[in-house]
Amino acid sequence: MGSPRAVTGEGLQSPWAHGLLLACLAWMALVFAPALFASAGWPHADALRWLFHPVCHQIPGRSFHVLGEPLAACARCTGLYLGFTLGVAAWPRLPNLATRLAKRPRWILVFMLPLAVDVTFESAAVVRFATGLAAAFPCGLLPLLAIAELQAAQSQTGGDPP
Amino acid sequence: MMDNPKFKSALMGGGVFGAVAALPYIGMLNSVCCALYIGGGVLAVYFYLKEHVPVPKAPYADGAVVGVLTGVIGGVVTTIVGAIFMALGLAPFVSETAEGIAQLEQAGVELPDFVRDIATGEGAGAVLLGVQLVMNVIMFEIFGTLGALVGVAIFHKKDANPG
Repeated sequence: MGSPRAVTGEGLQSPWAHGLLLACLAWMALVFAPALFASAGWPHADALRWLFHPVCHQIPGRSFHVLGEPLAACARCTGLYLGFTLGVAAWPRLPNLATRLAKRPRWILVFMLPLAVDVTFESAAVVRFATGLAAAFPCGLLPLLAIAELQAAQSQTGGDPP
Repeated sequence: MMDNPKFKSALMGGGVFGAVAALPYIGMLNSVCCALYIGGGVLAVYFYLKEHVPVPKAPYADGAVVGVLTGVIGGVVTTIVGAIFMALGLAPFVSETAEGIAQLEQAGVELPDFVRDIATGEGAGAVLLGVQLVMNVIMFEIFGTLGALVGVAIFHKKDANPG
């Protein structure tokens, strides 16, 4: 095997990558939906909110509010989800940066550092959101690299894309 | 199957963090950025790469597969360990769910009858366990796979003598 190949924007764009982006957008919609439904008076909005309880504390005081209702995830988790979604959408359009990050993937830890520090402090919601966003944005590249790798392996063996 | 390095790694990552996620109170660490599910994926990939021959290119595809396996194993382990705690009367989730439903009703939310029946009726444990299994597997899948990919980024070592 040679040195790591350059990441091309084309390599990061595939039906599966688009599917991943759609899944991320659906996840974001689920974060916002309970607040929008609750403000519209839909009685079962909290049942949707319950979906996130295994992975987020959902404390209203630590969450953003839309139309007077808290989102289904706290400010930090909302930042993480949005950062990841933006990453999945943006990395195929940033091939040079993607190549650099793919060559030195441990750099993602640097982006996680503010979040790690922020977790130990009592900070404002916007700070928690921003550190989550910064931590997750570079991580959006990783599944795209996995998909590109699976596709390359499939095309070498002549099979269908994953 | 037990000889498959991906499965073995997933068994360790999913087993350890799946069990931890089911523990009362300690399992609440998942509320901090899904730490336990992500941790399961990271640990599984750590074990996988330890056995893996170093290659120049980070094996993200293998990491994703390890992450998916970790999610399935972790979700099942979390549910089984949770069920054991439930049988021992130590599990919080059944009482939490019933409590949550009571709070929703107090807040004036009208829940469909079947939701109330599931939480309060006969066989509630089995139905809740089924719902919990599906939820655990889906969430562990998503965040375990992400953790595994992050693990590949962190722990991958390039071959010192490529070619």
